[in-house]
Amino acid sequence: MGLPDNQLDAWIESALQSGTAIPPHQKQIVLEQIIQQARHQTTLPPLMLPVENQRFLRRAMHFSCQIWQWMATFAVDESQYERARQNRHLIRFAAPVRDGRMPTHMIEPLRLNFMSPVF
Amino acid sequence: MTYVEAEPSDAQLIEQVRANDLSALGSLFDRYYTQVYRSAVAITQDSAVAEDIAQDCFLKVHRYANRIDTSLPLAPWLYRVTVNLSYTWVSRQKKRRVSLEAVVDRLISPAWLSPDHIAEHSEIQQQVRLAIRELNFNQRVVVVLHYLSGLSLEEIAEVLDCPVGTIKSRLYYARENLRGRLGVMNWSNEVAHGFAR
Repeated sequence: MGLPDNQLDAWIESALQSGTAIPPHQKQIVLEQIIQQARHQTTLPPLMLPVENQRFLRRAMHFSCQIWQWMATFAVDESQYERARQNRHLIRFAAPVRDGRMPTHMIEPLRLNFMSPVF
Repeated sequence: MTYVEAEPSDAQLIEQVRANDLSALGSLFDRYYTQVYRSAVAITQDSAVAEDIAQDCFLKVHRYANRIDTSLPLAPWLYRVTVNLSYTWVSRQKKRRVSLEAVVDRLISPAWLSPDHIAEHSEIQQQVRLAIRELNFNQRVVVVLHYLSGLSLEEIAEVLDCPVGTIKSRLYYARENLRGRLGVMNWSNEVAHGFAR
C-alpha cells in the first residue's frame, strides 16, 4: 500500500521547515554585507519605451497576428477537400496478386500527401 | 493615547529604495529574508550557497528598484529571482559533476544542519530531504514553493511564468516520485520493526 497523502504532505513540510533556522546574528551580518555592497552599487535607470515605439510595436504585432491568422486559416481549411470527398467518384483499380487473382480496389480522391496509404 | 504607525507597504519601501534609502532596503530584508533564504536552502540544499543567493536577491532589489512594478506584490518577484539564481547554481553544479559522497557529506554537514535543529533532526526528515534532492530541478522548485513558501498553484505559475497545468503536473509527478521513494523506506522500516519484534 502506498504512503497516504496526509502523511506524505506532513513529511515533506516537516523536512523542508526544519534545518533552515537562521540565527539572528547571522541575519545581522548578512544585512550589513548587503548594505555595504549596495552603497557601492548604482541603481539601474527605469526601462521605458518611448510612446512612438510602443505604438509602432502594437501595430506591428497586430499586423503580424492578422497575417498569421490568415495563413493558419488557409493551412487548415479542409472545406475544398471535404467537398471533393463527398462528391467523389471512386476509381476502380485492379491489381494482380500472387495466386493469379485480380482483386478490384476502389481509390478515393488523393490528397497532396503521397506518403499516406491509399488503400 | 498612543498612535501606532502603520507599516509602510512594499511599494512605499521600493519607492524609498529608488531614492537610495538603504534603511528601506533593510526593512524589505527584515520582511522577506527568511522566506528567500529558506527557499534557496530547500532548492540548493546548501546553506552557504543559499546565503549568497539571498544576498544577491536583495542586491538585485536595490539594483533593479526602478524597474520593479510596484503595482504588483514583491514576493513573487523575489521568488522568481531566487529560483533563477538557484537554477544557475544548480546547473553549474551539474557541470562540475559532484560525487554522491560530496552530496551526502553536504547533507549531513553542520552547514546544512544548523545547531538549533540537530536535536530535532530525524531519520525520516533526512530521508525526505534526500528524496527531495533527488527530484529534478523543476519538480523540486514546485515542491519548495508549495510546501515551504505556501504558494498556491496559480501563484507558482506566476512566479515561474508557466501554465497552471504544467505546475499541477510537476507537483503531481514530484509527489509520486517522493511517495515511491519514501514508501519503500516506510515499508522497509516497518519490516525492520516487524523483525525486531
